[in-house]
Amino acid sequence: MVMGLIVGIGIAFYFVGETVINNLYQSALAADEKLLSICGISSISGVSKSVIQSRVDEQITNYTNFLNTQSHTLFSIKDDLENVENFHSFLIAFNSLSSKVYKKISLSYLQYSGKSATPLYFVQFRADNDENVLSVERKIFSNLGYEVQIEKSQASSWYRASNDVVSILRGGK
Amino acid sequence: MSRKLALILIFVVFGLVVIFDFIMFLRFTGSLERITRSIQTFDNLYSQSFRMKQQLSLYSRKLRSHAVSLSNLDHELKSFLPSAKIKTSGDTLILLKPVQVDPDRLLNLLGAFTNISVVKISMKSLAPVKYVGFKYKFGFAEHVMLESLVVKVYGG
Repeated sequence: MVMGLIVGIGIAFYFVGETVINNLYQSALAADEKLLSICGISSISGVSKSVIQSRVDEQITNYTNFLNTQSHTLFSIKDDLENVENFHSFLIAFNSLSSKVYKKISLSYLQYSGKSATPLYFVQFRADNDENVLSVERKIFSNLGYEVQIEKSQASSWYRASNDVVSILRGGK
Repeated sequence: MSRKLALILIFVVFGLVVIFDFIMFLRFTGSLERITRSIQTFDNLYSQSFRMKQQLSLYSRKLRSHAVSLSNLDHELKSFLPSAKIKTSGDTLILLKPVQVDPDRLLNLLGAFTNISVVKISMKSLAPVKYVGFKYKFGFAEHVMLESLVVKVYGG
């Protein structure tokens, strides 16, 4: 009698536990309609837990792969956008240079390369006695967050002109 | 049956029942835990993807806000560089041979659009110093050769 009672209570516990946990399981899943629709499960009640679990795992793997490709696209677009913005900021700097040192320098070479560590590089001629031009140039580019290197060279075949090599380096930022 | 034996039997049965329930409980909660972890992972991925989509649309909106197509840019370049040999491959424009150019016009053209990613430009003046009175002419003086030009047109 007592043993029957104990076994009965044990079985009752088993069923109560199972129903409670099954309910939790189903309500947890049902709340996530996005997941269910991606897994192609329309109703949970008829499907066993192990089937659901394996489908969910499979979809998570697929989704992860999809996100990886998406992040590649994102990074390449971000790259393009940064390149465009760099070029525009270079143009702004160049235009402000032209208004501030107007009629004081003359260029002989200019190179811009978007992805290099030295985005801008130019060779200029200026009057021998005009060092002020250099500090204006330094200021314009360092305000934009670039590092400026100016290599002064005295020898110039032109009358009373100095010839400088100006490199604008990324990395001051 | 002695009283002692009956008591022992009752305890053994009780123990077995407790162990059975306990194991079953662990199994149920185990599957519950696995599924909730999966749901969490999925939710993370989902919100990540949502944020990515937002970024993507933001970036492409920025890129497209003043866009030009590859063929239009090619056309524009040829209109003031008639002798230029320009190759298009994929979304990229490449100048094949140096050509004489108006540097300001070129730079302003490239800067006018939001989807032109300039990979490389180099220009060289053949006569760098030109005095106007006693002043320099700003920028390139004369006879500027465009030595290289590589641009990528987004969405082109």
